[in-house]
Amino acid sequence: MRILVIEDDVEVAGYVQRALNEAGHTTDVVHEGDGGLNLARSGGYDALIVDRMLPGRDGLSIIADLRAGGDRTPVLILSALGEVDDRVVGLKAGGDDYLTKPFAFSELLARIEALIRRSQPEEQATRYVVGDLILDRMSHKVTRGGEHIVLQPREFRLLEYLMKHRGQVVTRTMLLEGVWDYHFDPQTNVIDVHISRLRAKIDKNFDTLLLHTVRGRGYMIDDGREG
Amino acid sequence: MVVKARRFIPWRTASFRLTATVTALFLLACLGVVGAIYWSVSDLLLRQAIDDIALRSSRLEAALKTAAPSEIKQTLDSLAEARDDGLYIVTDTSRARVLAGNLPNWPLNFPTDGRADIFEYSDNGNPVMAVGMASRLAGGRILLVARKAKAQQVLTARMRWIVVAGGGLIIGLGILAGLALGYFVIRRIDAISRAGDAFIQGDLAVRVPLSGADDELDDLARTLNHMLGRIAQLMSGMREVSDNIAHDLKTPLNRLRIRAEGALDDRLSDQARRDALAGILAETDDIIRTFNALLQVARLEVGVLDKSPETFDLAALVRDIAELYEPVAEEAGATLEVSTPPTLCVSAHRQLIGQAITNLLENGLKYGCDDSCDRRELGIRLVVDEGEIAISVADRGPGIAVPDRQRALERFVRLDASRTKPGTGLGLSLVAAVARGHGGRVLLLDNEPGLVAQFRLPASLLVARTEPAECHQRFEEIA
Repeated sequence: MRILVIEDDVEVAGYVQRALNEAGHTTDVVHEGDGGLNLARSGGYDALIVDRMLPGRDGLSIIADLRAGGDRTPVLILSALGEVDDRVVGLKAGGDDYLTKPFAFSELLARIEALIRRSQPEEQATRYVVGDLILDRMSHKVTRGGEHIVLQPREFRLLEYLMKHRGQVVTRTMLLEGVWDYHFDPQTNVIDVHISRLRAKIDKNFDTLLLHTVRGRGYMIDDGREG
Repeated sequence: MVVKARRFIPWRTASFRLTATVTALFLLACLGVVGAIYWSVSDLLLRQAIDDIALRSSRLEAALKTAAPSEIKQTLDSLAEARDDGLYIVTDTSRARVLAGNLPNWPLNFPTDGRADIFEYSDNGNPVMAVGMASRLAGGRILLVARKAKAQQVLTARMRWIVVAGGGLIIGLGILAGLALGYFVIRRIDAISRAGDAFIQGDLAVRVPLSGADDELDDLARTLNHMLGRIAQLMSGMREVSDNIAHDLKTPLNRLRIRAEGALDDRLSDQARRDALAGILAETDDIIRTFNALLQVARLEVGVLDKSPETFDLAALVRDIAELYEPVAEEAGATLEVSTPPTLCVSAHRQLIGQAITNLLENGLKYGCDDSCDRRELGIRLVVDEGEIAISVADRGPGIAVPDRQRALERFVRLDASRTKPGTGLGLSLVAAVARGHGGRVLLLDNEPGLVAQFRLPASLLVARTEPAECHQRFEEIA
């Protein structure tokens, strides 16, 4: 995937570029706002990573400009401003996700990949399938190997979120935001506990484990095959 | 900057200028009233005099119409004898030759056509005002009957005196009032300036004295005192924060440095180096977490909460968070009991309130039980009582001793009992800051045994629900 990084901190930008390239993406970097907007307008990117405070033109106005021109490329906003209100402002300006500095690279990668995936058309699936695990979004039924699995509503949403991002790492923060809509950090391992409960329901008694813990990054649901 | 105490220069005080303006306006009004009275009384007197003259004139005219000059002279002489206010003169047609009467000559320009009019003549050098009326006698002679307008003259003189004396009195009193007002107001404003100066010099305890009059200056003083109190609180808060940052951030930074130094050691195996780096990462995350919490508390305390509250179901939020933590509690061997009304629609900051509830629950889980406690029970309750919305988290732990309770809400304060457990020391102070930001408060109470931490919000945040859709649980669709 082609990703454009608009970030004025040369070191952070270089680090993000190297790491994204290692993850198999093609990355361009611009260090100031106007050049960033021009490059973004020229198109062809699958996602943009835009710092909020930039020399020349600030990040939010870049996004607003792109959106005004009908450009729907997913945008991840990076910002040192992390309050609830700042976040709301960022998303209102047309950003698709918001990440507060300092961030862990695994968080950035997971989020940008989720954004790229989200913008692709195969989206409106009524059921998700991973291996022999099937989640039906209409009837709210989950089966594995034809066997019905009873889930609490929240467990269903958690599984739905994971399966929607199948094959991708989702971080604990993403789960907290995506499933619970909490944009704050609990200190304890609440998510881990919920994941282990879910795992007990979907993976126990089966030979193939689908719900994986990716150490230091998060969780991923996958049957080990490509696609 | 030090403001010099204001010297008392009367005309430079606002109260003096104000008094001067009021006095001048009042003076003008008084002059207007006096003028109107003068004009109307004088007009009335004049009319009376004219009526009187018309009567006298017609009588005398009838008596003298055809009389001989000698007879005229005799009549007028005898009338003059009376020495009352009557004035008479008879002249020839040209009005140049005086035939009889007690007026020295015909008044200049006095009309001869029978109209009443005023004129002035000189009585032994004194100007005297008179009202008269002319009439024609036989032989072209002209008779003028007049009377001195004494009342009018007296009135004018008195009015002049009243205007001068009264005006002087008003101006004098005005000046006095202005000076007194200026002096007293200046004295009180001086007191305010002095308090401000002392505050600037660093005496954070100083306050503006109240006069006790409960007037607008006292209101001002109270507002200023409130402001000074707030500034003092913020300044001491800042000092305390910097002290605590020095301690709570420098310590982990120092550990971080030591670990980084250790990781640079050439003799380390790859695995050991990886472990050292993982340790550094974890330490950094802790520092970031502390830093974020600190920033958040600080921003809440300067009051950034006016913006964008949302309407949401607080009862659903409490149940939601309880549901999030229920498995955690269970793993820790505790029960979590939840009690809320079916819905409670409020207008507030959902994320912040959520974080506050989360912090309370995490505290309950962390400190709610030590090894000695026999029942591991946690409870979260949402009620509306005594005009407040109260969210209580109760545990059966060791509780907090009464003298420590206030301190537990302050930033970075970690009671000795908890020093060994992980945490930033900012959890409860964030809860307190969120509560204050919403106009509420946090109470720490006794659960006998255990602690009840109560997060209380004013009932003014309640939203009377008109349409159920307005207070829906947001975010039904997964993003």
